[in-house]
Amino acid sequence: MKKLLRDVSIMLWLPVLILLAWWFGSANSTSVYAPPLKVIMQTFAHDWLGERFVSDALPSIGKFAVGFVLAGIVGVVLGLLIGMSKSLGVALDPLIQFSRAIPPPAILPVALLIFGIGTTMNISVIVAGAVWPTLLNTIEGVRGLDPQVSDMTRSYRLSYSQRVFRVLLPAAAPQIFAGLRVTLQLSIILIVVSEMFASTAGIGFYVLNSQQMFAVPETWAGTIVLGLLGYIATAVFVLVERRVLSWHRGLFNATEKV
Amino acid sequence: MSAGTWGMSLGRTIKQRQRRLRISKSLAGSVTVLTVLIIWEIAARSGILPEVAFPAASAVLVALGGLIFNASFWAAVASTLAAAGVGLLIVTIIAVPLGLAIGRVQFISKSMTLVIEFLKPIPPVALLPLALLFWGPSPTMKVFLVVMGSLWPLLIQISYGPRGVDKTQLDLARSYRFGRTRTIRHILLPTLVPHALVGLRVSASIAIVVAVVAELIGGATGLGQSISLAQNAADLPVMYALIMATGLIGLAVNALFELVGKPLLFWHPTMRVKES
Amino acid sequence: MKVFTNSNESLLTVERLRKSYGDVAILDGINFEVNRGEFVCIVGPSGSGKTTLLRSIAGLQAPTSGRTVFEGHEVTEPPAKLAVVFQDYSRSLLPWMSVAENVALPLKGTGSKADIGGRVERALVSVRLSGKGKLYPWQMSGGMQQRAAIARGLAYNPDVLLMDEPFAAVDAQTRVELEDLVLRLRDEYNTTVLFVTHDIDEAVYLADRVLVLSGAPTSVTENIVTELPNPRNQLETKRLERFGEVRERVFTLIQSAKSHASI
Repeated sequence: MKKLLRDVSIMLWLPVLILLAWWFGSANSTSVYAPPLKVIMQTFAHDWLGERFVSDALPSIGKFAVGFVLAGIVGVVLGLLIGMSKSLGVALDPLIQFSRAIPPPAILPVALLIFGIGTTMNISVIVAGAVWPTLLNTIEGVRGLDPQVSDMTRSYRLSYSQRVFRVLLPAAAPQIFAGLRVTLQLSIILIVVSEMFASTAGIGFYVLNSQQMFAVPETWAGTIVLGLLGYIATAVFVLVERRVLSWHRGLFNATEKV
Repeated sequence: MSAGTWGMSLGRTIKQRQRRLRISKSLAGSVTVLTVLIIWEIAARSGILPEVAFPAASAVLVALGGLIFNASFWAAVASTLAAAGVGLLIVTIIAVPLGLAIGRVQFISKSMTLVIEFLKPIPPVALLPLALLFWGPSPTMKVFLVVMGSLWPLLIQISYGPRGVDKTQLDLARSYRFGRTRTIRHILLPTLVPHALVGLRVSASIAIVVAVVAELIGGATGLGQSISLAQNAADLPVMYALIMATGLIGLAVNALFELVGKPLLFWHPTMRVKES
Repeated sequence: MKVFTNSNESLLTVERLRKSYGDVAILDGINFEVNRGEFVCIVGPSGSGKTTLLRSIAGLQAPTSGRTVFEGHEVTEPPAKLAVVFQDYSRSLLPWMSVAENVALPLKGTGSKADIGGRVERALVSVRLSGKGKLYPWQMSGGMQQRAAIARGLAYNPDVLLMDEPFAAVDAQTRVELEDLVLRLRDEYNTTVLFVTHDIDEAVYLADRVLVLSGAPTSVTENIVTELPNPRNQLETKRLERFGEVRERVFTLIQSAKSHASI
């Protein structure tokens, strides 16, 4: 019990200290740009725990989720196809290397031209920008299949669907998930960026708009919402990853002991 | 035929084959790029791709050429790279001591866990409005965002370093009485440098992207702003050329890191040229 | 004392098998036969291309010239009635599946779920892993994992079991248990076994016939019939004079093969 208390307090003392310092340090603030934390929290509650959650937050979250899932699916499926085919890989490699080097936000003006303002634009920016880590990691994971595993699948004459779904994909899963993690981060960035750049609704738009109208506490509150979005999305992802890759952790722990 | 000469002749054949493979690969690659450009050109000219969004490939290439001789283009590049560079410098100054502290002292590592876990996923873009409030569309605003965005990869990579130091090597240093400086120079640094370079490389590419985004949306001078201006002026060839240029610069920075990394890291298992 | 009769039905014939990489010859004209019911061991010095030979026979790799004939057909791809037990069980058993799932994997489409389940269960019982089917490979010791790999080969119902140094990665005491297990399984399932090893004692103990390989470029130096009585016993069989004779002969051949290669 004592140890638990000690561990918890070691983890918590710094964040708590920072929050307290912020609260009391800003309590009597007269600076325009740094209002008291109390005011920020009140604005946060008023703005985001009410109607605005449905009108602005949910659409953003929805677009982000759809974009991320699409980017993931495209990345894995294409990655599988390219990874399994030697000729496709050689032909497409330079194209992929060039496309991934383009900073995703640079796609924004192009997407705006093609799709105009709207959900399609947001989602396509996410997919076009965030697919690369998953795509590249899937290709690498597929190509890196242990030759002995490959021998075993051929020797036991496994069917095509068995090879793909029961051998290749699980074998590449650790690497695919590493790519998906970065894709997730990029998706978060891109939904915010695309909403700030060209949207008329959504969290990103709202925060930038608040700044432009000098609604300072609203800007702070909106920024906190964005931070929470990122944190929760990552936490959910980690939970899912842990379940799917539980065998990998088991294997790692078992071999580590040797 | 003895095993010794057998090994050598096998090696020579494999090296020749590797070189031939490399040449044919880059040939295939150039062919693909050329094909894409040609298809793009035909599609744009024939109207398959809407003219309103896709200018001809030739027009974009011409615009790209025009940029190279345009002084304000290079000024914008300088502005973006400067912000990224200054930001990276600050990040390094913070991340090295802090990362080492986190890696070596468990108390610090545990204390900082929650703070890092919460700050890490915040996209620097999310901080853009706040940064604009404080500093307006200025280089300072850009540097602030660069730092907030690229600190984490480097910090985390460096914190992995101390844990990865081989205990056997440490024992070696102690039994031969190396003393502090020699231990740091011959054992600690070579273990830490690969981690640091990997982190720095990732942080560098993030730095460039964040700088461009800050310019694009925040309106500070730089490549991002040039793209935005070209888009507002509906000057599509220039806009696309600028986007390409941004990509190329990113590739160049990456290549620079690889170049610098090779002589420093030739001994590291990941960089060793495989024997036959 | 059971004496094994060699029915002279040849299940597997290797004819003038050659394999070269560029102008370096690894296998140089391998010829041998395996008859139904036999336990044949292949021994050779390290670097003699034993794995290359095995992969060619198993249809995983095409030879440069020559061929393998399995049950009357030339081998161009992995044959259905041939099962391979690979050397590194930690890499050939899939870590994301339980042992039972691993054993059942190659059996898809060969029968109803109940049938397959039955075959898996029987194989696991034979290798003394009954009740452990739900475990994951990495939750087991090395010996148990290799038994699981053998179970997979047996459940596949092959006519010939090809084993590539299966006990090389296992400690000596476990190896003794596994050797006797394989002999028992051969009797129980009536399979023909082709067993590759670098361990001379193991080869002589297990085999009806021992094929000794030369160093690279490899060919079959000698084909020795062990003439040892069945069933084998780790203590008694190894005390027999004949055991010592065969062992010495194989040892001498391999020593001279090694000195020719001058590694």
